[in-house]
Amino acid sequence: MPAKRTLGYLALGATSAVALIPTLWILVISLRSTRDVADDPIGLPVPPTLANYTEAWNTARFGDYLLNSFLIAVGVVVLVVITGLLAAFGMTTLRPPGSGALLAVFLIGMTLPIWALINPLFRLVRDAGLLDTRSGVILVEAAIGLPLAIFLFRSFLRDIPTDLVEAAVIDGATPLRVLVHVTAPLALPVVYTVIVFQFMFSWNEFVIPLFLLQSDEARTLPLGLSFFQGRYGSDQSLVSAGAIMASAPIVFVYLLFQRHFVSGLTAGAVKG
Amino acid sequence: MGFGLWSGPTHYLFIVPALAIYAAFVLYPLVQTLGISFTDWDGLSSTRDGVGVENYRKALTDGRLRSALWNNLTWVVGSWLPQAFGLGLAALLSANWIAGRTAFRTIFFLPATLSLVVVGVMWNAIYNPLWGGLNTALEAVGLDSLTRAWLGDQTWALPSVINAANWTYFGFAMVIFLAGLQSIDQSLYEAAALDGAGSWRQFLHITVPGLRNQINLLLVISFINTLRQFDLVFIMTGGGPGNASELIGIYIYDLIQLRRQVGYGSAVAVLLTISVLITSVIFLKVREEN
Repeated sequence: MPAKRTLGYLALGATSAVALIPTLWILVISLRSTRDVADDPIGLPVPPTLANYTEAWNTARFGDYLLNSFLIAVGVVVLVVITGLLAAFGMTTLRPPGSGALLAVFLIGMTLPIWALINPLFRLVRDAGLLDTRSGVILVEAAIGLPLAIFLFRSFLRDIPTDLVEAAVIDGATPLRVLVHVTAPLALPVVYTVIVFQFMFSWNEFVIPLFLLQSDEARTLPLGLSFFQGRYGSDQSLVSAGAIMASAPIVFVYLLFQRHFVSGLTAGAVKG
Repeated sequence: MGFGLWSGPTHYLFIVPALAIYAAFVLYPLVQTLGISFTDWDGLSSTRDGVGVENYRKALTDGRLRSALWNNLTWVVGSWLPQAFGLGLAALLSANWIAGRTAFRTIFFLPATLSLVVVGVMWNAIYNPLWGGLNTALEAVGLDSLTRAWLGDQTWALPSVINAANWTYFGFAMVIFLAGLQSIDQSLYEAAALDGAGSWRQFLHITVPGLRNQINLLLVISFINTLRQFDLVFIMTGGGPGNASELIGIYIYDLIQLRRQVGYGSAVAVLLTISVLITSVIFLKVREEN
């Protein structure tokens, strides 16, 4: 039925336009001067200018923001994957007495709104001298990311056949060796999922940096961009260049690792 | 289970690092918030007085909290739209005659990867009353009468922000449904086609029931995430004009950061937490029954 197919592709084409046009429009604006945009909001960038990018890079500390976002996200990923995998292995495979209760305590964390924690967290981090530091944000974001990681790891470890582990035990392997040589390699797909989810969570997180990072040079990309918008809100070309710089790295990574990305983000859905 | 050769307290060492981080930065603050919610603390003074359940009693009659809750619930209903849309897209994309499935999926999911701050900045430009894309487009097609200051309008501010959130959400819903569609037995469609059922009836009687779990999951995720929304409103309207687009998260931020009513703000946060916990438990129960 050609009519049905035509309608189908029309719907998909229109939806693609809806998905892409806002981003493309901002990209176009970022390549034009603010005066041009005010004269003709939907005009094309002829000739394109990179002036907004150099100005945003120089007046705001987008270089610093980028580095902060990256180092914090990597720190969170490393901390969550290592401690989360150890804990999930402990509670699922080794299962010392009380593991069930401990697991329940961890899993409750998946549902907590940040507002139930943020005021005491601010004081805790301040009193520890970690305000305005990447370490402070890493520790807090790791703590908040751990429940989901443990949940995902546990769902996977539970299904690993016990004879695999038992065989290694009979060969005299210690628990740590079993984790490193048997369990962890098997769990690689779920490790990727956790890496993507935690990285994206940290990269896009706004409220935690908003409370814990106060000086300009300590800010992450979303936080820096929000302050940038507050200060230069009337200069849309400049703000658009900032928005493109803040999102380009993640869009690039998304296009490269699409499959892992989608499974990582949808696994995050159970975080609820 | 238990591995006879392994035993002893050293097994707890595997759990200790995660538990230490989690206890310090989640459990301890949570207990503190609970404690503060029974006081009148302003967040600064070295002293605080216990006020019993006064903060909770106040919350029950707080008009501003009720209006924020109402906005949150409006948002919940608004988020059903991209879910339905995502369901339709998933069904369309899994039709066997579709070419370019991966490309479409990649494009539709793209908005879901953006930080909400970026999305807010983007849609602020679209809604700008003077040169925004939306008003410019409406004028271009002769619909000048529909142009307005979208985010500055008492009636339109909240729907406008919800619309921006929905833009990031339909591709996400679609991906969840696409995964669910793979587990539906294809022979059901073949049998239905033999019985003369058209695509619409197949969709209603095979696809939708087959995706019951995904629909259930998305309804709960959107409910819980919507209750916790903050970023977009903070970037786009700050809760205004007036309190027209205020959410519970924005209200709590205002209470603990700006108004220095940390005791009362904590009580509202505890109530929010309890609502989210109850919803999650109901969801798990329903899923177990299925």
